[in-house]
Amino acid sequence: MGGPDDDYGDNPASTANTALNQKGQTMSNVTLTAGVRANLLSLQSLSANLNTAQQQLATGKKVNSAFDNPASYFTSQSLTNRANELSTLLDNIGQAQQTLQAANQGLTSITSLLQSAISVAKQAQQAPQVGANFGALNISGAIGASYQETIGADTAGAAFASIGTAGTLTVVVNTNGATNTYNVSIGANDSISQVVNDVNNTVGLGSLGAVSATDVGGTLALVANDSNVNFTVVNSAASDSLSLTSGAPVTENSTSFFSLLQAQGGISGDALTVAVNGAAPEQIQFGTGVNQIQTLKQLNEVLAALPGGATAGATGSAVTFSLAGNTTQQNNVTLGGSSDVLTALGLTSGTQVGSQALTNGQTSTTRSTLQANYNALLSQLDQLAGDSSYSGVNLLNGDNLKVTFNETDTSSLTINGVTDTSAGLGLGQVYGTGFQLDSNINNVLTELNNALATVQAQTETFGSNLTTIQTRQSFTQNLINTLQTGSDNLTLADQNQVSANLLTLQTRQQLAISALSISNQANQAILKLFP
Amino acid sequence: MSLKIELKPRERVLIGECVITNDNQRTRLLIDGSVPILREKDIMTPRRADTLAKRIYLAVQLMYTAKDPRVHHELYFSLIGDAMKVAPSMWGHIESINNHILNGEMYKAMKDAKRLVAHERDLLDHGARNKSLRGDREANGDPA
Repeated sequence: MGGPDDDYGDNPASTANTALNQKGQTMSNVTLTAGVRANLLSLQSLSANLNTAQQQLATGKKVNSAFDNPASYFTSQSLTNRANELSTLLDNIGQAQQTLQAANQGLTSITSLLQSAISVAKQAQQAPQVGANFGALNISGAIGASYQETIGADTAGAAFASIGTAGTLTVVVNTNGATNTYNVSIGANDSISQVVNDVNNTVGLGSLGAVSATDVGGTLALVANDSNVNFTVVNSAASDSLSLTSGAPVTENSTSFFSLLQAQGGISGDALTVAVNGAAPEQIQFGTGVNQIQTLKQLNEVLAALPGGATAGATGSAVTFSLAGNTTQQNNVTLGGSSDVLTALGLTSGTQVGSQALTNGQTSTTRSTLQANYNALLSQLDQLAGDSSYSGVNLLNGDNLKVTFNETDTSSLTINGVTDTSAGLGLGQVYGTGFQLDSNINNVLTELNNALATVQAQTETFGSNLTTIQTRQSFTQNLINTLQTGSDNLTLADQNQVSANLLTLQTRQQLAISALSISNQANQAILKLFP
Repeated sequence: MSLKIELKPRERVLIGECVITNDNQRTRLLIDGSVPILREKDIMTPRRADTLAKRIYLAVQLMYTAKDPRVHHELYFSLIGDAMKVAPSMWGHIESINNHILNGEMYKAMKDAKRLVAHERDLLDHGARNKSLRGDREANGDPA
């Protein structure tokens, strides 16, 4: 033990020192024999030890002053100081945790208020609309000049006259590279209408086939049925007599919409998507493959069968979509797809909606009541956001919270507050006839869903902040306990002792390690991968 | 900024909750985001943790890699409590580990835990070296 020095004699905390001061006073007054002095010394030393032991009993500490054991004393002091510093921090961390918990509770309540508001809005939507008038919606696109189809036609060079000698008219049809030859028997005295019938009744020709014959004011003409059909009138006595040829075969080519689209940079698979009045979107693909659209005629057929109640078509040089006015649903058409196709058809992508109006003075009472309920819920939400504070900090009303994790303030977490009032969440009271039309309620529902997503994201952020804070809190609390216990039990061992202690611990700690393997199976499983 | 890790052939690395094993060539990984990352050479397993300091290292590693580090606090503090009792000279390193953990710098805490293991090795070597010289000495270890 370090011997006391008189310079420190006035230190009242030192029990050993006090004992030795008494010795000093005794020696100045009485002369003692060596034997008595030895006895006295041992008594005094015993009394000093007793005092120390009593002091230890009173404080629970083995080392109470710098004189008991300077190294241990100062280490102990530093541990205690550190524990005290950390205790102050822990108070702040605890406050922060309370603040976050208040905010989290607020968020939970706000979430359920938003969910109530959503169900009120949906309820209003289910009530019938009263006095609503929805206008017709007409959309049309002008097919661009570069995309105008041509249809192959062979018009007779002269007015019709019977051919005189029975003969055969041969037409070779080429559709997308597939060639078919059709022979039509023409009677010697057939009139123009009989010839037209002769041709159109031949299987593969006529309205169901590739090429049709028509009577154009007394002149015979062969016309391709669609813009993807090319045909050749083979030269024969009959064809010459019908003036469809004059000594040489005549080939008539068509140009389909898709080939024009390709010429302008379009590719197979380019598509137009159309959704009418909430029906499933229809994707119309262009190309020459199966179920792909090559010609405007094909496009017209698909558009005519469009779901959603629109009258649509592609004729001549225009594409049109028409929806009639009604009193139940606001008309809407959403167009999309490849820009190549939209450009060719003269259409714009996006949603177009028909007009809507309320007949003056007619409103649904149910909807008005639900509107009032909705507004009341928003007021409650504002109150909640205002009331979610703890010790003056309200994370839901724009306040920030800084949590400091160490004394030097180098480690801290700043939790940015949010403004979860109805205005902060992008919501507003609904006035007038705001709940009378479904479309207006849809806008409110969109706002509500956005607000809900915002609040859920905030809940996650605050939740993860709370976990961080709780982890630090647990660590700090444990550390304080360890520091306090440590400063109370401090013993100083020499290096040999340390070495021996460490070896002893190795056996004892097997227990702690087996506890570890139970507490942490998941982590252990990964560690097993390492030898 | 991405963290760059270069792996030797067959080297393994713990990233988050999975182990990535490199194939037979050198590989350079760029990692973004915040997950625990430990190279094979830095990983302590319970079987290898046969001394106090190594166990402290393991406890820090468990806190670093766990989703909820709180479950490992009890183990860690029981270990550093032991260290404080039997080998106060370890305290400087432990104090530094604690500060890093308080600051949320778990990787730095791991580095300090590594220094603690080295310090412990010195202490144990000292004991072994002096055993023959002071073998007959009083074992209570009270200083003179």
